[in-house]
Amino acid sequence: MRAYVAIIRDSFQEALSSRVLWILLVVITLLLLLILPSGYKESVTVGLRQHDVKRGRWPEFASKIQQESEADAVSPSRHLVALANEDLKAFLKKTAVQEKKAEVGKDMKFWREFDKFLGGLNELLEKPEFYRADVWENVIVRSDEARELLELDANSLSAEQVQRRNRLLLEAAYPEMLQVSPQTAMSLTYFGKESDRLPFRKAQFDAQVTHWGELVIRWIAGTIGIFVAIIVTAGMIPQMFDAGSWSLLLSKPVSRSVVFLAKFIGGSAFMLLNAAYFICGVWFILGFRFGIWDGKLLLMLPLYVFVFVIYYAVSALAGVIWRSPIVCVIISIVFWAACFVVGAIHSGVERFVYKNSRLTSLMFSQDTLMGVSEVGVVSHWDEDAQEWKQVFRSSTQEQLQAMLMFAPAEAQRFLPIGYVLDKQGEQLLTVQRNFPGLRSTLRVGHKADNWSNQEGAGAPMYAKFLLREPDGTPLIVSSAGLDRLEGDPLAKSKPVKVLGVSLPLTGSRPLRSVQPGEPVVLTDPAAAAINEDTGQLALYSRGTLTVLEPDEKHNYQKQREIQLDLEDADQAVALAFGGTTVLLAFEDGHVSVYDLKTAKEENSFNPDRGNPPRFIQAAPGGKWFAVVFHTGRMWLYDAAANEGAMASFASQGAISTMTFSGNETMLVAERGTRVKEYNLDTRAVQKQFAAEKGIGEMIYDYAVTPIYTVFPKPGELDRTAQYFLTGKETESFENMSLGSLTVARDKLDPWTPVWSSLIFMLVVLGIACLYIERQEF
Amino acid sequence: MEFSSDTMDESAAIAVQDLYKTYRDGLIFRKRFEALKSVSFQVPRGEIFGLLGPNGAGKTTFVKIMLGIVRKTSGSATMLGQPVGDRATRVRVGYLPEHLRLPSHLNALGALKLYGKLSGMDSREIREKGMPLLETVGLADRVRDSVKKYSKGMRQRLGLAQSLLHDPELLFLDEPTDGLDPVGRSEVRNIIHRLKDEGKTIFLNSHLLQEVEMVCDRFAILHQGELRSVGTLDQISSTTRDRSEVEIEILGTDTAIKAALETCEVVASEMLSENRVRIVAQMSGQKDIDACVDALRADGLSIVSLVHRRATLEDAFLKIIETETKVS
Repeated sequence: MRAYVAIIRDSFQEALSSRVLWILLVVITLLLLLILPSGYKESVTVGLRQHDVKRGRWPEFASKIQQESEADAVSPSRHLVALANEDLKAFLKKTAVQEKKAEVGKDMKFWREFDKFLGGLNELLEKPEFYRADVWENVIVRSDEARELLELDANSLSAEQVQRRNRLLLEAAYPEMLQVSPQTAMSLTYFGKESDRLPFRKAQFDAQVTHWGELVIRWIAGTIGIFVAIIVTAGMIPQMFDAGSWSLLLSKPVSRSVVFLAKFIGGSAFMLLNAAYFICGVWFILGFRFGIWDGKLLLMLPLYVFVFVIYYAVSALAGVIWRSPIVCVIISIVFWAACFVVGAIHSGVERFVYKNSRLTSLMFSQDTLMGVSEVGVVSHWDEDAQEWKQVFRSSTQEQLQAMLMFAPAEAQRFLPIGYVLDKQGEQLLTVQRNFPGLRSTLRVGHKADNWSNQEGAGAPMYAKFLLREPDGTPLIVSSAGLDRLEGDPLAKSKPVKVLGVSLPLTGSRPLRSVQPGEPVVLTDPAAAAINEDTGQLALYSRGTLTVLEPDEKHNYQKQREIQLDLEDADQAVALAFGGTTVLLAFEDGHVSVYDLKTAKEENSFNPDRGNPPRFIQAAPGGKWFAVVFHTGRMWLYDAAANEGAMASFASQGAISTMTFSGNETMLVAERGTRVKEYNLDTRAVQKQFAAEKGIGEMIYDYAVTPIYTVFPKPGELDRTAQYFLTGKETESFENMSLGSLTVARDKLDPWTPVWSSLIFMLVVLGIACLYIERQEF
Repeated sequence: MEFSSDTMDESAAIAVQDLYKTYRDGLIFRKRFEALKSVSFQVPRGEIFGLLGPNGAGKTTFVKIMLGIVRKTSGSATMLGQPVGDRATRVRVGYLPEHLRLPSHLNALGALKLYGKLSGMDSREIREKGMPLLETVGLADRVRDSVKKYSKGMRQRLGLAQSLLHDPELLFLDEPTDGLDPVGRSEVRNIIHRLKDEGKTIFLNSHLLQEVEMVCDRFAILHQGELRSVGTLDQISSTTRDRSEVEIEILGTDTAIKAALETCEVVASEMLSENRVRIVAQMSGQKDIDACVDALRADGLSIVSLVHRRATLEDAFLKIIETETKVS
C-alpha cells in the first residue's frame, strides 16, 4: 500500500509543480476577486415597483381605481384619487375611458405614460394622510404586520413605517391586483453600489444567489475547468510509459494495474486542486458576503471531480493504448461529443415526441375516454380502431403547441384551464385563454359533431379553475367569483353598441354567477375542488380553506372557513375533496389530510421524499384519493383507513396522470399514451387503452433508449448537482414554479447519470488495467 | 565452460533453461519475432556477470523477463531461487534501466524517497540510507536540486543510487556507465567491486566491452536471440581460436630474421628501426615458441622481448559475431 500511496503523492507533487496549475490558480484568484465585492442589502418593502402588480395588470388596476372612485361611497379608490396629483388624476381618467372602449393595454399609449401612474402612486404611499380610519374600515386586513402598524399611534410612526403601512393597506384593498409584499426587500450591491429592489424575499433571494453561485461553478469549474484539466493531464499517463521510467516502476514489487490506477488518481489531483480552490472560494464569498453558508454547494466539488474523472478515464485508456497526449485529448473530445450527441438525441426525442404526447389529463364518461397531452392536444380513444385520434383542434391550440415546443414557460399561461366532459360523454368544454390578450372564451366540442372545436361564449377574465359539478355541469372558478354554465355554451349574443362602442356585459351569457353573498376572493396560491357526492366546493386561497355548499337555487353559500396553520403559505397547492375529507398536497411534497367534521389536520404525509405533487383527485364515495407527483410516482390514500402508500403499480415512475372511473376503479396514464384501468382493491389491470407502437416509438424504445442507457451521462450530472442543491427530483421550466403545480417539471432523475457514468468509468478503467496486464512493454 | 545445463541450480542468483521469448505484433495477421531462443545459463550468487550482444540480440528482453516486465514464452527461469515474475522477489532486486528517466519535478532525495517506497522501504530507512548513498555516487552537494537540472551523468548516478537504496541481493545494471566521464566510470567500477565484496550478484548489460571486461567474472554472448558463449574470458577466447599469438622484438636485419623464422607462421612484421623488427607469429604451444627462439638464437639474432599476446573480450566477441554473421 505504501508504494501506491507514494505514486499518488508523487502525482500530486507533479500536479503542484505544473506551471499551468499556477497560472490557473492565478486566473481563479482573479475571478474570485471579481465577485468578492458583490453583496446584498435588505430594506423594508415600501412603495410600488412594476412587478408588484400581478401579471402586469396595471391597466385594469388603473381602471379599477378610477371606476371605484366615481362611486358615491367612501372607498380607498376614492380616497386615492382625492389625494392624487393632477397628472395622476388625468391619467386615471384617460385609462378609464380606454377601458370602456376595451382599448386599454392594447397599444403602447398606456405604457408611455405609465411612469406618471407609478410615480403618482408612490407619492401617495409616502403621505401620512394616506391612512384615514373611515376609508379603510371596510378593507379586510389579513396581514399581522399591517394590523400591528395600525394599532400603533399614527404620529409615532417613522416615515418608513408610514410607507410600509400604506403599502400593506393598498395590498389589502386590492388583493386581486397586488402581490403580497415581503416585509423586507432585497437588492444587490457591488462595490457599495445598490441595484434596484428585487422581487424576492430573503429566502428566495438566497435561493437565487445560490442558483447563480451554482451556475458560476458549473460553467467555470464544470465546463471550462474540466476542459483545461483534460488538456493539461493528457500527458500524465502516456509519460508514465516512457521506457526509462515504466521499466523502473515495473521492476519494483508493485502491481502494474494498481500503479496505473494510483497514477490515475494522482492525475485527478490537478482537477481537485483547482476545483477545490474555486468552489471553496465561491462558497466563502457566498458565506461572508451574502450570509449563505450552504454546505450543499461544496458537494459540487466531488461532483465535478467525478465528471472530470469520467473524461480522464477515457483519456487514460487512450494513453495506455496509444501513449500519445494528443491522441488522449482528441479521444476525450470525441467522447465528449459522442456523449453530447447521444444525450441530445435522447432528450430531443424525449422532449419533443414522448413528453409532448404524454397524457396529462383524462376524462371518462359512459363509454367516452378522452385525454389531453402535455401540449394541449385533445385525443379521443377510438375503441374500434384501438388508437387515439386527435380531436378538438383549433388554430389557437396549434399556435400554442408550437409555442410550447420552443417557449414552454411562456406558453403555460395560455394553456386551457381545464376540460370538462359531461356526464353523458357527449360534450367537451374548456376555457381557452386567448393570446395575445388575456381574454377567455368557452370552447365546446360535441361527440355528434366529431368533437370539432367551436368557439362559445366569453368566459370570466381571470378564470382559474374549471370544475364539474356532480350532475356534470361545468363550474368556472375565477379570482373574483363563481360562474355556472346554465345554457348553451355556444349561444353568443352580440353586446349592445352605443355609437359604435360595445357596452360590456350587455350580451346574454350562458354563465350565471353563483357566488355567495360575501364574495370569496381567491389569492394565489389557490386551488379548488368539488365533492363528487355532495356537490360541496372547497376553495383554498393562500392559507385559508373555504367550503361552500350550493343552496336550492344552486348558488354557493359559504359553509365554513378554516385558517390553516401553515409554515409557508406561499407554496403552490393541489386540492381534492371527497366525503368529509380534504386533501391538500403542497409544493414541498407534504400532503395534509383535513377532516371537515373536526376542521383539523388529521394526518400528514411526505409520500415522495419532498418532491412536488402535480395532480390530485378524490374518488366518488370519498374513500380513495390519488396524488400524482412530478416524478411520475402515484400515492394512494385510503380515507377509511387513514393510511397512504405508494401505489403498487408496475408503472410507478412513469405515471403522468390519472382519473377515477368509479368508486374502486382508476384510469392511469402511463409511459406516454398508454392508459390502464386498475381495480383499487385487487390492483389488477381491468382494461387497457393502448395503441400499437409506431415506428418513431419503436426506434425510441429499442434503439435510442438502450444506447442512452449504457452510455455515460457526464453532462447530465448537472441534474445531480441541482438535486444536491434543491433536494428535489424535479425542476420547473426555467427554474420557476410559476405558482402552479400542474405546469410540467422536468424529472431530474439525479442518480441515473451517477450510476451509468460510474459503471462506464469502472469498465473503461478495467479495460485499461487488463490491457496493461496483458501488454508487454 | 558452461553452455547449457540440464539441471537448474536453485541456489544460483539467476538460472534459465531453454528460455524462449516470441513477440507477436499486429491484430489480425500477427507477425512473430523470436527474441530469445533456447537460452540456458546460470549466474551463481556473488558473481559479476556480463551479458553481451549486438543491438537486437535479446539482452534487454532477457533482463525484462527476469524482472517480470515481459513474460517468457516457454522454458524456465528463476531469480534468487524463485520463478521470475514473483513480485515478492523483486524486493531483493535492484535495477538501473538503460535511458533512465526520473521524474523531473523531484530532487535527488525526493526521487530516492519515491523509489524507496516503491521497494517497500519506510521513510526512516530511506532517510538513513539515502544521504550516504548520494555521497557514494557523488551527488551529496546537489541533493536539493531539481532532477531536471541534472546532467545525464548525474541522472545516471542518481539511478544507480536508487537501485542500491534497498540493499538488493541481485542488481541488474543496464549500461551503468552511460553518460559518465572517465572518473565516474572508475567510481562505478569501484562500487561494483565493493558490492561484489559484500556478496551481491551483479548482472551487467553493456555495449562497452572494455568496461565489462574490467569488472565481470564471467560473460555470456547473445546473438540473434541465441546464446553463443558463456564463461570466463579465457573460456570464451579458447572457443574462438586454437593457437595463441606471440609478439617478438628482434635485433637483426629483416632478411636474417625472415630466414631464421622460415618454419614459423609469421602473421605480421613491423620494422621498428634499421636493425630492429617486431613480428607476430602464431604458435600452437610452448614447443613452437621454444623452436622459434632456438632458430633465432641459432642464427645469432638477439631477442629483445617476447610477449605472449593475451586474447581480449572484444576479439572474442567480434570473432563470434563475425563467424555467426558469415554462417548466416
